[in-house]
Amino acid sequence: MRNRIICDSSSLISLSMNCMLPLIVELSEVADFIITKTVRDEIIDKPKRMGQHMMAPLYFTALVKCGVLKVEEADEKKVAGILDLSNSMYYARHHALTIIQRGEAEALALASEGGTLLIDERTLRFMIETPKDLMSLLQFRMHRDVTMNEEKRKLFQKYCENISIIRSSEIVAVAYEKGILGKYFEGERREVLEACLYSLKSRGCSLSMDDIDDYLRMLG
Amino acid sequence: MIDRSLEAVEKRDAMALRTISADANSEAATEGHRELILVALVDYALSKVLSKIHYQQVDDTFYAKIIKNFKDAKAGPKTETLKNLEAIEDFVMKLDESEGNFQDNVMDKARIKKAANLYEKGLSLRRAADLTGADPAQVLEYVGGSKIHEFSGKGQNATRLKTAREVFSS
Repeated sequence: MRNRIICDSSSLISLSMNCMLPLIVELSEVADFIITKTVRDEIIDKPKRMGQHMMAPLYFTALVKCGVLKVEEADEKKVAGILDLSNSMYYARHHALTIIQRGEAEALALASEGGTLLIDERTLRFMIETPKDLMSLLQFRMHRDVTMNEEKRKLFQKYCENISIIRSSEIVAVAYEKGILGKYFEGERREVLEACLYSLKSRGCSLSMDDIDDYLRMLG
Repeated sequence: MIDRSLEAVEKRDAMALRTISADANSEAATEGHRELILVALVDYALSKVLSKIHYQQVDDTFYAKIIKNFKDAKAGPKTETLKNLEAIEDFVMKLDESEGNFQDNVMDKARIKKAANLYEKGLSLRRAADLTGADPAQVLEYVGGSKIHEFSGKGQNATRLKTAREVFSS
Protein backbone atom coordinates (compact mmCIF):
# COMPACT_ATOMS: atom_id res chain seq x y z
CA MET A 1 0.00 0.00 0.00
CA ARG A 2 1.31 3.45 -0.92
CA ASN A 3 1.99 6.00 1.82
CA ARG A 4 -0.41 8.91 2.07
CA ILE A 5 0.58 12.54 2.58
CA ILE A 6 -2.29 14.80 3.56
CA CYS A 7 -1.39 18.28 2.36
CA ASP A 8 -2.32 21.51 4.07
CA SER A 9 -2.60 24.54 1.81
CA SER A 10 0.27 26.31 3.63
CA SER A 11 2.82 23.79 2.33
CA LEU A 12 1.44 23.78 -1.19
CA ILE A 13 1.53 27.59 -1.23
CA SER A 14 5.15 27.59 0.04
CA LEU A 15 6.23 25.06 -2.58
CA SER A 16 4.39 26.93 -5.31
CA MET A 17 5.89 30.32 -4.40
CA ASN A 18 9.34 28.75 -4.52
CA CYS A 19 8.87 27.01 -7.90
CA MET A 20 9.16 23.64 -6.13
CA LEU A 21 5.89 21.99 -7.11
CA PRO A 22 7.78 19.71 -9.57
CA LEU A 23 9.28 18.05 -6.48
CA ILE A 24 5.89 16.70 -5.46
CA VAL A 25 5.24 15.60 -9.02
CA GLU A 26 8.43 13.51 -8.80
CA LEU A 27 7.68 12.22 -5.29
CA SER A 28 4.13 11.27 -6.26
CA GLU A 29 5.75 8.30 -8.01
CA VAL A 30 6.26 6.72 -4.58
CA ALA A 31 3.49 8.21 -2.40
CA ASP A 32 0.01 9.72 -2.71
CA PHE A 33 -0.51 13.43 -2.11
CA ILE A 34 -4.03 14.03 -0.82
CA ILE A 35 -5.93 17.29 -0.42
CA THR A 36 -9.36 17.90 1.07
CA LYS A 37 -12.14 19.79 -0.70
CA THR A 38 -11.57 22.89 1.43
CA VAL A 39 -7.84 22.86 0.64
CA ARG A 40 -8.72 22.58 -3.05
CA ASP A 41 -10.97 25.60 -2.63
CA GLU A 42 -8.17 27.51 -0.87
CA ILE A 43 -5.50 26.82 -3.47
CA ILE A 44 -7.62 26.88 -6.63
CA ASP A 45 -11.10 28.38 -6.38
CA LYS A 46 -10.58 31.15 -3.84
CA PRO A 47 -7.44 32.69 -5.44
CA LYS A 48 -9.27 32.59 -8.80
CA ARG A 49 -12.23 34.44 -7.27
CA MET A 50 -9.86 37.00 -5.74
CA GLY A 51 -8.12 37.41 -9.09
CA GLN A 52 -4.67 37.19 -7.52
CA HIS A 53 -1.76 34.79 -7.90
CA MET A 54 -3.41 33.31 -10.97
CA MET A 55 -0.44 31.15 -12.00
CA ALA A 56 -0.53 28.99 -8.88
CA PRO A 57 -4.22 28.00 -9.18
CA LEU A 58 -3.65 27.06 -12.81
CA TYR A 59 -0.74 24.82 -11.85
CA PHE A 60 -2.69 23.29 -8.98
CA THR A 61 -5.62 22.63 -11.32
CA ALA A 62 -3.27 20.72 -13.62
CA LEU A 63 -1.89 18.73 -10.66
CA VAL A 64 -5.42 17.73 -9.63
CA LYS A 65 -6.37 16.88 -13.20
CA CYS A 66 -3.37 14.61 -13.74
CA GLY A 67 -3.83 12.92 -10.36
CA VAL A 68 -0.71 14.17 -8.59
CA LEU A 69 -3.00 15.81 -6.02
CA LYS A 70 -5.92 13.56 -5.12
CA VAL A 71 -9.02 15.18 -3.65
CA GLU A 72 -10.74 13.30 -0.81
CA GLU A 73 -13.59 14.12 1.50
CA ALA A 74 -13.01 14.10 5.24
CA ASP A 75 -15.42 12.45 7.66
CA GLU A 76 -17.83 15.22 8.62
CA LYS A 77 -18.34 13.91 12.15
CA LYS A 78 -14.59 13.91 12.77
CA VAL A 79 -14.19 17.40 11.34
CA ALA A 80 -16.91 18.73 13.63
CA GLY A 81 -15.33 16.99 16.63
CA ILE A 82 -11.88 18.41 15.87
CA LEU A 83 -13.23 21.92 15.35
CA ASP A 84 -15.20 21.79 18.56
CA LEU A 85 -12.30 20.52 20.68
CA SER A 86 -9.53 22.62 19.18
CA ASN A 87 -11.53 25.80 19.50
CA SER A 88 -12.52 25.21 23.09
CA MET A 89 -9.12 24.08 24.35
CA TYR A 90 -7.52 27.44 25.12
CA TYR A 91 -9.12 30.23 27.11
CA ALA A 92 -8.22 33.88 27.61
CA ARG A 93 -10.36 36.11 29.81
CA HIS A 94 -13.01 33.38 29.98
CA HIS A 95 -13.26 33.37 26.18
CA ALA A 96 -12.59 30.18 24.26
CA LEU A 97 -10.00 31.09 21.62
CA THR A 98 -10.93 30.20 18.06
CA ILE A 99 -7.60 28.97 16.76
CA ILE A 100 -8.23 26.85 13.68
CA GLN A 101 -10.68 26.76 10.78
CA ARG A 102 -12.39 24.08 8.76
CA GLY A 103 -9.52 23.52 6.29
CA GLU A 104 -7.07 22.55 9.01
CA ALA A 105 -9.68 20.38 10.76
CA GLU A 106 -10.40 18.51 7.51
CA ALA A 107 -6.71 17.83 6.90
CA LEU A 108 -6.30 16.61 10.46
CA ALA A 109 -9.40 14.38 10.19
CA LEU A 110 -8.02 12.71 7.06
CA ALA A 111 -4.53 12.33 8.51
CA SER A 112 -5.96 10.75 11.67
CA GLU A 113 -7.10 7.82 9.53
CA GLY A 114 -3.49 7.06 8.68
CA GLY A 115 -1.07 9.28 6.90
CA THR A 116 1.51 11.96 7.26
CA LEU A 117 0.42 15.57 7.53
CA LEU A 118 2.35 18.01 5.35
CA ILE A 119 1.95 21.42 6.96
CA ASP A 120 4.12 24.55 6.90
CA GLU A 121 2.16 26.80 9.22
CA ARG A 122 3.11 26.67 12.84
CA THR A 123 -0.09 26.82 14.87
CA LEU A 124 -1.76 23.50 14.08
CA ARG A 125 1.62 21.78 14.23
CA PHE A 126 2.12 23.09 17.77
CA MET A 127 -1.41 22.11 18.73
CA ILE A 128 -0.78 18.52 17.61
CA GLU A 129 2.79 18.04 18.80
CA THR A 130 3.31 20.38 21.73
CA PRO A 131 0.00 21.89 22.88
CA LYS A 132 1.66 23.41 25.95
CA ASP A 133 4.07 25.32 23.71
CA LEU A 134 1.08 26.79 21.91
CA MET A 135 -0.34 27.89 25.24
CA SER A 136 2.98 29.57 26.11
CA LEU A 137 3.05 31.24 22.70
CA LEU A 138 -0.53 32.53 23.06
CA GLN A 139 0.27 33.78 26.54
CA PHE A 140 3.48 35.47 25.52
CA ARG A 141 2.15 37.08 22.36
CA MET A 142 -1.29 38.06 23.63
CA HIS A 143 0.13 39.43 26.88
CA ARG A 144 -2.58 37.80 28.92
CA ASP A 145 -3.24 34.69 30.94
CA VAL A 146 -4.17 31.76 28.76
CA THR A 147 -5.38 28.51 30.23
CA MET A 148 -5.72 25.10 28.63
CA ASN A 149 -8.63 22.76 29.25
CA GLU A 150 -6.86 19.47 30.01
CA GLU A 151 -9.91 17.32 29.34
CA LYS A 152 -10.38 18.83 25.89
CA ARG A 153 -6.65 18.50 25.19
CA LYS A 154 -6.73 14.78 25.97
CA LEU A 155 -9.75 14.25 23.72
CA PHE A 156 -8.13 16.30 20.96
CA GLN A 157 -4.89 14.29 21.27
CA LYS A 158 -6.85 11.12 20.46
CA TYR A 159 -7.30 12.46 16.93
CA CYS A 160 -3.55 13.02 16.71
CA GLU A 161 -2.26 9.70 18.01
CA ASN A 162 -1.18 8.25 14.68
CA ILE A 163 -0.18 11.45 12.95
CA SER A 164 3.35 12.31 11.95
CA ILE A 165 4.12 15.74 10.60
CA ILE A 166 6.48 16.97 7.91
CA ARG A 167 6.99 20.40 6.33
CA SER A 168 8.00 21.42 2.83
CA SER A 169 11.59 21.53 4.16
CA GLU A 170 11.45 17.72 4.55
CA ILE A 171 10.17 17.45 0.97
CA VAL A 172 13.27 19.40 -0.09
CA ALA A 173 15.52 17.24 2.11
CA VAL A 174 14.24 14.00 0.59
CA ALA A 175 14.36 15.46 -2.92
CA TYR A 176 17.97 16.41 -2.22
CA GLU A 177 18.87 12.90 -1.09
CA LYS A 178 17.13 11.33 -4.07
CA GLY A 179 18.96 13.62 -6.49
CA ILE A 180 15.71 15.30 -7.61
CA LEU A 181 16.70 18.85 -6.67
CA GLY A 182 19.55 18.82 -9.16
CA LYS A 183 17.13 18.23 -12.02
CA TYR A 184 15.43 21.55 -11.41
CA PHE A 185 18.12 23.77 -9.88
CA GLU A 186 21.60 24.05 -11.33
CA GLY A 187 24.52 24.51 -8.95
CA GLU A 188 26.77 22.79 -6.48
CA ARG A 189 24.59 20.23 -4.58
CA ARG A 190 24.95 21.72 -1.13
CA GLU A 191 24.56 25.25 -2.46
CA VAL A 192 21.25 24.22 -4.06
CA LEU A 193 20.03 22.63 -0.82
CA GLU A 194 20.95 25.71 1.21
CA ALA A 195 19.28 28.04 -1.29
CA CYS A 196 16.10 25.96 -1.28
CA LEU A 197 15.85 25.90 2.52
CA TYR A 198 16.45 29.64 2.87
CA SER A 199 13.97 30.31 0.11
CA LEU A 200 11.29 28.22 1.86
CA LYS A 201 11.95 30.05 5.10
CA SER A 202 11.71 33.45 3.46
CA ARG A 203 8.37 32.54 1.89
CA GLY A 204 6.58 31.27 4.95
CA CYS A 205 7.64 27.73 5.87
CA SER A 206 7.90 27.67 9.66
CA LEU A 207 11.64 27.05 9.74
CA SER A 208 13.99 28.77 12.12
CA MET A 209 17.63 29.54 11.35
CA ASP A 210 18.54 26.76 13.80
CA ASP A 211 16.39 24.34 11.80
CA ILE A 212 18.28 25.23 8.62
CA ASP A 213 21.63 24.71 10.36
CA ASP A 214 20.32 21.37 11.63
CA TYR A 215 19.39 20.24 8.13
CA LEU A 216 22.66 21.31 6.61
CA ARG A 217 24.43 19.32 9.31
CA MET A 218 22.20 16.23 9.07
CA LEU A 219 22.29 16.10 5.28
CA GLY A 220 26.05 16.63 5.18
CA MET B 1 -11.66 51.95 20.39
CA ILE B 2 -13.93 53.96 18.09
CA ASP B 3 -13.77 56.94 20.48
CA ARG B 4 -10.00 56.82 20.47
CA SER B 5 -9.89 56.42 16.67
CA LEU B 6 -12.16 59.41 16.21
CA GLU B 7 -9.96 61.57 18.41
CA ALA B 8 -6.81 60.41 16.63
CA VAL B 9 -8.22 61.27 13.19
CA GLU B 10 -9.41 64.67 14.41
CA LYS B 11 -5.87 65.36 15.64
CA ARG B 12 -4.35 63.73 12.49
CA ASP B 13 -2.26 61.62 14.87
CA ALA B 14 -0.72 58.75 12.89
CA MET B 15 1.14 57.27 15.85
CA ALA B 16 -2.02 57.12 17.97
CA LEU B 17 -3.84 55.36 15.12
CA ARG B 18 -1.04 52.77 14.94
CA THR B 19 -1.35 52.15 18.68
CA ILE B 20 -5.14 51.81 18.54
CA SER B 21 -4.82 49.48 15.56
CA ALA B 22 -2.44 47.23 17.52
CA ASP B 23 -4.74 47.28 20.56
CA ALA B 24 -7.80 46.43 18.45
CA ASN B 25 -5.94 43.58 16.76
CA SER B 26 -4.91 42.16 20.12
CA GLU B 27 -8.52 42.27 21.31
CA ALA B 28 -9.66 40.70 18.03
CA ALA B 29 -7.27 37.77 18.54
CA THR B 30 -9.25 36.87 21.65
CA GLU B 31 -12.74 38.04 20.78
CA GLY B 32 -12.75 37.57 17.00
CA HIS B 33 -15.26 40.40 16.52
CA ARG B 34 -15.56 41.87 13.04
CA GLU B 35 -15.75 45.44 14.34
CA LEU B 36 -12.44 45.09 16.20
CA ILE B 37 -10.80 43.74 13.05
CA LEU B 38 -12.21 46.62 11.03
CA VAL B 39 -10.92 49.18 13.53
CA ALA B 40 -7.48 47.50 13.43
CA LEU B 41 -7.47 47.58 9.62
CA VAL B 42 -8.80 51.09 8.97
CA ASP B 43 -6.72 52.69 11.73
CA TYR B 44 -3.56 51.09 10.37
CA ALA B 45 -4.41 52.20 6.82
CA LEU B 46 -5.26 55.73 7.99
CA SER B 47 -1.98 55.95 9.89
CA LYS B 48 -0.22 55.15 6.62
CA VAL B 49 -2.25 57.77 4.75
CA LEU B 50 -1.30 60.36 7.37
CA SER B 51 2.39 59.53 7.42
CA LYS B 52 3.29 59.02 3.75
CA ILE B 53 4.51 61.99 1.75
CA HIS B 54 2.53 61.15 -1.38
CA TYR B 55 -0.72 61.37 0.58
CA GLN B 56 0.05 64.83 1.97
CA GLN B 57 -2.22 66.50 -0.58
CA VAL B 58 -5.26 64.63 0.67
CA ASP B 59 -7.73 67.37 1.52
CA ASP B 60 -9.90 67.89 4.57
CA THR B 61 -13.06 66.62 2.89
CA PHE B 62 -11.58 63.11 3.01
CA TYR B 63 -10.97 63.35 6.75
CA ALA B 64 -14.38 64.98 7.28
CA LYS B 65 -16.02 61.90 5.75
CA ILE B 66 -13.93 59.60 7.94
CA ILE B 67 -14.80 61.59 11.07
CA LYS B 68 -18.50 61.52 10.22
CA ASN B 69 -18.41 57.74 9.76
CA PHE B 70 -16.53 57.23 13.03
CA LYS B 71 -19.15 59.40 14.79
CA ASP B 72 -21.99 57.39 13.24
CA ALA B 73 -20.20 54.13 14.08
CA LYS B 74 -19.89 55.28 17.68
CA ALA B 75 -23.60 56.10 17.87
CA GLY B 76 -24.45 52.50 16.88
CA PRO B 77 -26.43 50.20 16.81
CA LYS B 78 -24.01 47.37 15.98
CA THR B 79 -25.18 46.91 12.39
CA GLU B 80 -24.63 50.62 11.79
CA THR B 81 -21.23 50.45 13.47
CA LEU B 82 -20.12 47.79 11.03
CA LYS B 83 -21.65 49.63 8.07
CA ASN B 84 -19.82 52.83 8.96
CA LEU B 85 -16.50 51.11 9.53
CA GLU B 86 -16.88 49.38 6.17
CA ALA B 87 -17.63 52.77 4.61
CA ILE B 88 -14.30 54.06 5.98
CA GLU B 89 -12.61 51.00 4.47
CA ASP B 90 -14.17 51.91 1.10
CA PHE B 91 -13.09 55.56 1.35
CA VAL B 92 -9.48 54.55 2.01
CA MET B 93 -9.50 52.10 -0.89
CA LYS B 94 -10.93 54.72 -3.24
CA LEU B 95 -8.37 57.27 -2.07
CA ASP B 96 -5.60 54.82 -2.79
CA GLU B 97 -6.91 54.21 -6.30
CA SER B 98 -6.37 57.88 -7.10
CA GLU B 99 -3.41 58.80 -4.87
CA GLY B 100 -1.51 55.59 -4.17
CA ASN B 101 1.84 54.78 -5.76
CA PHE B 102 1.52 51.01 -5.82
CA GLN B 103 -0.90 48.51 -7.33
CA ASP B 104 -1.43 46.91 -3.93
CA ASN B 105 -3.93 48.95 -2.00
CA VAL B 106 -3.01 50.39 1.41
CA MET B 107 -6.01 48.43 2.78
CA ASP B 108 -4.60 45.20 1.33
CA LYS B 109 -1.29 45.92 3.02
CA ALA B 110 -3.15 46.51 6.28
CA ARG B 111 -4.88 43.14 5.91
CA ILE B 112 -1.57 41.32 5.35
CA LYS B 113 0.15 43.10 8.23
CA LYS B 114 -2.72 42.48 10.68
CA ALA B 115 -3.15 38.85 9.58
CA ALA B 116 0.57 38.22 10.12
CA ASN B 117 0.21 39.77 13.55
CA LEU B 118 -2.73 37.50 14.44
CA TYR B 119 -0.72 34.51 13.21
CA GLU B 120 2.19 35.64 15.34
CA LYS B 121 -0.13 35.70 18.35
CA GLY B 122 -0.96 32.03 17.78
CA LEU B 123 -4.03 31.91 15.55
CA SER B 124 -3.74 29.60 12.57
CA LEU B 125 -2.82 31.03 9.19
CA ARG B 126 -6.34 30.41 7.88
CA ARG B 127 -8.06 31.92 10.89
CA ALA B 128 -5.84 35.01 10.63
CA ALA B 129 -6.41 35.33 6.88
CA ASP B 130 -10.16 34.79 7.20
CA LEU B 131 -10.60 37.38 9.95
CA THR B 132 -8.76 40.07 8.02
CA GLY B 133 -9.66 39.08 4.46
CA ALA B 134 -5.97 38.73 3.55
CA ASP B 135 -4.56 36.39 0.91
CA PRO B 136 -2.81 33.52 2.80
CA ALA B 137 0.00 33.40 0.22
CA GLN B 138 0.81 37.05 0.83
CA VAL B 139 0.62 36.55 4.59
CA LEU B 140 3.08 33.65 4.37
CA GLU B 141 5.44 35.80 2.32
CA TYR B 142 5.23 38.61 4.88
CA VAL B 143 5.78 36.17 7.75
CA GLY B 144 8.83 34.78 5.90
CA GLY B 145 10.49 38.18 6.06
CA SER B 146 9.93 38.45 9.81
CA LYS B 147 11.31 36.62 12.81
CA ILE B 148 7.94 35.05 13.65
CA HIS B 149 9.08 31.54 12.80
CA GLU B 150 12.19 31.73 14.96
CA PHE B 151 9.87 30.46 17.71
CA SER B 152 9.03 27.24 15.91
CA GLY B 153 9.67 24.52 18.46
CA LYS B 154 12.86 22.54 18.82
CA GLY B 155 14.35 19.13 18.49
CA GLN B 156 11.98 17.53 16.02
CA ASN B 157 14.02 17.85 12.84
CA ALA B 158 15.66 14.43 13.06
CA THR B 159 12.26 12.79 13.64
CA ARG B 160 10.68 14.67 10.76
CA LEU B 161 13.51 13.77 8.41
CA LYS B 162 13.23 10.11 9.44
CA THR B 163 9.46 10.23 8.78
CA ALA B 164 9.97 11.79 5.36
CA ARG B 165 12.61 9.22 4.42
CA GLU B 166 10.23 6.40 5.38
CA VAL B 167 7.24 7.92 3.60
CA PHE B 168 9.17 8.38 0.36
CA SER B 169 11.22 5.17 0.53
CA SER B 170 11.38 2.81 -2.47
